[in-house]
Amino acid sequence: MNATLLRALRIVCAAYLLTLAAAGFLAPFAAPFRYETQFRDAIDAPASPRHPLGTDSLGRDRFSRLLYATRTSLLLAPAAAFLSVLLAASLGSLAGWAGGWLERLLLASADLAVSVPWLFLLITLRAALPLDVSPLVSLLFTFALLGLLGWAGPARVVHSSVRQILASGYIRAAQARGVPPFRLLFRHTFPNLTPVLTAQFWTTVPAYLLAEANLGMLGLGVTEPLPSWGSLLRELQGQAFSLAHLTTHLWLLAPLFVVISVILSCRFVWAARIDPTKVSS
Amino acid sequence: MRGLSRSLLQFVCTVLLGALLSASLVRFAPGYGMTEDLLDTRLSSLTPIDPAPSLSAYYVQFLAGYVRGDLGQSATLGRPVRDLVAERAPTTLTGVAIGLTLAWTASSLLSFTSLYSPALSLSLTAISAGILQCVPAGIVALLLFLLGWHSAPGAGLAAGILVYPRIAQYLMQLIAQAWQSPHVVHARAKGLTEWRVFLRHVLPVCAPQLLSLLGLSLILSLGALIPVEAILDVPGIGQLAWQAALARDLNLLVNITVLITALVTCSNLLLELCGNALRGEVR
Amino acid sequence: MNILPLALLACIALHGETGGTLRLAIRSEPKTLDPLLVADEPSELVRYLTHAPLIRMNRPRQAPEPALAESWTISDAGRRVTLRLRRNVAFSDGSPFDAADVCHTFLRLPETNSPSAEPFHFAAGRLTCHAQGFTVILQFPAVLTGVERLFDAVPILSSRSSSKDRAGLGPFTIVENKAGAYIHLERNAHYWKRGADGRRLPYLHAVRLEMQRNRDLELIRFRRGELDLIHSLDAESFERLRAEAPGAVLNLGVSLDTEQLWFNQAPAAALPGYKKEWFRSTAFRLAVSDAIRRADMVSVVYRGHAAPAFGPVSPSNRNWVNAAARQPSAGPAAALARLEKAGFQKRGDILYDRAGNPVAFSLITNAGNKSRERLAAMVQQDLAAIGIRVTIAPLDFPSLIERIAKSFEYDACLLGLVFDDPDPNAQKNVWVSSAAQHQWNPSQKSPGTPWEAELDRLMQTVASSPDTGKRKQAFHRVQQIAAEQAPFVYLVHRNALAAVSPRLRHTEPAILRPQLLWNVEFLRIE
Repeated sequence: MNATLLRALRIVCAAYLLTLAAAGFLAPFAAPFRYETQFRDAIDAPASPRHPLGTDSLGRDRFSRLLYATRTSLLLAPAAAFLSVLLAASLGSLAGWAGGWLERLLLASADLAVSVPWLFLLITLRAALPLDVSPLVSLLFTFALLGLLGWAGPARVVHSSVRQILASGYIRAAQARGVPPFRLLFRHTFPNLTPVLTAQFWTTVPAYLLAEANLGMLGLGVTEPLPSWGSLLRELQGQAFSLAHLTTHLWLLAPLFVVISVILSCRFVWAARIDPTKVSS
Repeated sequence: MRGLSRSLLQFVCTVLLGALLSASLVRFAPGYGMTEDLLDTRLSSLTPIDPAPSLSAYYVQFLAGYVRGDLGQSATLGRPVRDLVAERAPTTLTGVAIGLTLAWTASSLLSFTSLYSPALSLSLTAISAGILQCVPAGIVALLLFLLGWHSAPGAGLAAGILVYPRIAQYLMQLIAQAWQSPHVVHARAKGLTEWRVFLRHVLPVCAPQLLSLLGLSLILSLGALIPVEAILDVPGIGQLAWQAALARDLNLLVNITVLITALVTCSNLLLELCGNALRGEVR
Repeated sequence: MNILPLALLACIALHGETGGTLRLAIRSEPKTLDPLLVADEPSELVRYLTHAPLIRMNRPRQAPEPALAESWTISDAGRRVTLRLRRNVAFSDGSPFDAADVCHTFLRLPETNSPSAEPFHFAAGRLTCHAQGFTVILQFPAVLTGVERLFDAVPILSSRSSSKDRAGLGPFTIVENKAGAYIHLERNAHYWKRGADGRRLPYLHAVRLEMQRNRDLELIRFRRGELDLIHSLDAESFERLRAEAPGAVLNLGVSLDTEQLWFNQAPAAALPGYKKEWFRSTAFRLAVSDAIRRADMVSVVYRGHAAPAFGPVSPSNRNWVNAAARQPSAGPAAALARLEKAGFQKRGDILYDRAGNPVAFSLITNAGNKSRERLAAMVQQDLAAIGIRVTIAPLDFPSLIERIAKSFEYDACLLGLVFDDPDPNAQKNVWVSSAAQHQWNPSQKSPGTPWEAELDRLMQTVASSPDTGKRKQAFHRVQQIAAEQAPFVYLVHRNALAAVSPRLRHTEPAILRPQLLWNVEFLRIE
């Protein structure tokens, strides 16, 4: 696989993501209908020029709903990922830099963070919010919760990278020269962490997109009538009663296609950053 | 010895903290103590809602139970937690075993191809892992269901598919790095056969990380099994945890948390210890 | 010469004897296997399969028929029941059945807290039971209306058997219970009932209840032939299945169940004063009812397999429905007119109350129930047309129960009520103001409004009058008040829809649970 091809792929993927994001943000103008408008005389309609992806069981235009869902997912997942990576960067580097009991404490809390059943929080999230908050706000909280709780994995990675950097020759040389510890951290350690953090960001975004999709399929985080990829996939679950049905109703798969292609694009945008040519040569 | 006792202390503290945390989560969750009987129109007088135990009281009672070796009762299923977990553990363990075997076999086979063509091996891994990583767990479960796999092996297969990308990518990175390390390059320059280099030089270099990857994949596959078991209705620990969460079953959920925290902490600590020992040896 | 055909016949007979395994899904684990404590649907099904009552309700005819009691007489204005028991009956473990078992069971009821035992908790004293050979006399301290119906839910337990509650008189016994996976039941070799051909029932060899929480997956398994029966199929799946295999679906007709929404009128509720005022305003509730297009709900959510609901009694409950009280909704224009008369005003797209507050409320329903989520979305759109903004909040069940039964922190709730019994006594706890199921304002010390006081008096008549005519008159008036005051805004009565494998024979459709399984002892799989 040569570098030019990879670069081209990366550009194509980035362009695809940008286009989708643009389409999502322009949804109020680009979508033919509002996401909640019910056409009660045309429920479960097949794809047609009026409804390019057909309508759902309440007669709502699937294409419009997909556009609106893309808007929320593409906005909220990166925001949540940013939150996680920010937390991971601070806690992970603190652990790596401080060492000793603080390191043990932080790593133990990372262990806790992956084993306590936070899923439970997501189940009860809607009930804990005021009842009259809009669906968008409740979805926002879902992603915020994902972002707050997802720091543990990236933090372990950051921690080990910080340890590696601190053990490297030039940091030791700087220490020997008497560079103060904070300067060491901010001027010499953090800049070297950037690639790790970027990589963590680009792996966390798809993880949260998937998490929201899975929550939707389990019936959680559903925010009727606001569409999200999760709720669209949940609808697919109801329609997918046989493979034969799916093959004759291909438009039903559109949300799945969008989810997979977006995540794949995220991965390619990132994958091209770590330089595999070093290995393949 | 001191390191060991400190690790043990850390292990116990983490597990207990996990129990306390999940107990507070459940106890203060909306809907705690509510049962569907409260909506039964056939009942005129409601059984008064028990004043919920205070958290500290619950915690003391819970610890005392642990000291006696009693895990308590599940409030919703009306049976001892120990029986419930023991009943379902084999199903989940079967799933984990199947998933890990599949994922590791596939990843190892791919990594062997790096002997012949590193570029091909890398692209195969990137493509297969990349695509599989993009499919939501729910869709994987649904697809397997449509294909007729909906028992413990099906859940195992799903777990394998979901864990494979992580293992394959990490393994490939490890091995690719190892091939680049100076002494491997040196060994190849001396004209040793590729297989010999792989077995004698590449694998030992990777051993500590491989071990930690093994531990990580165990946790990952358990994590993947929870939604899969819940969606496919496979009677394992994952399904039990899901039911417990939906029904606010305090005791059951706390015990499952203890189990998972213990597994996670234990494997991380063990790996730390083994890793240190191995690294010492290789050096 | 003759041996061969005989042997062949024996083979066929043997083959016929083991009538196959009926497989169906249950959606949650039975909460209890103690037949007296049963409250949830899966436990009820297991009890139905493993135990037998003295008198059974014939589900399709909605009339009592003899079971363990061959005959019975009711005397003393409904205070005494004299039953003659069937002889030569044995429990599943082989121990004999007699009057002592009946008394053993009934004397346990006053101490048992469960829906089937509750009618036998008397404030005035305790029931007494006299056993004389195969005759039992039950004496109640107060009038008990619809005795036969209540007996249907009382399983007779053995007073002697060592296996206690596991020994049953029903057609099947539990052989294996794999928690979270399945319950396997096999035919009770001692079952007392015989078929028309003189053979010992049941025909089926086994019944297997598989745990399958996910409805979509249940349908897939049915289509694959892994399940033989689905009860309460949703309309969408019903239509899809009908298109594929018209012989595999069965429309049992309009059920007794209701879907409704109500506003929180509890005085203890932490709601702003103006909201309380709306919710207590009859005009407001009637206007909401008028604005909701029930016909759309029937055609969109239920694909035509439901009846619009205008009152608490389903039109299929012919004995008790008050047809005159069923007033169809008047439409959004009439709703607006009614609201304006009550001081509301619509400016632009928004409705304002007299004090200038925009009218908006949140509607909670249980998350995961697709039909209810859709009904809520339709209510939202219909009320938007008269300027009311509705926010839908799907909550998981325990959180929902906490809000409607304990904390009263909600505006409005959309939920269904399930009735297994056409008798109006089944609705007593909904209408009596002191009951906990009087959802809009539960557990009142004294009725808060004159019409609730009247409801209390009427339901007292319904519960205790031995005169059927008087009971009917009282319950018709209840329905009239329900229509005039609209404490519940009724939406639909859904049809009972089922999927049945063509291999399953001798089914007799019934809308009352356990629907197609009500005559399980006669079913066969071919």
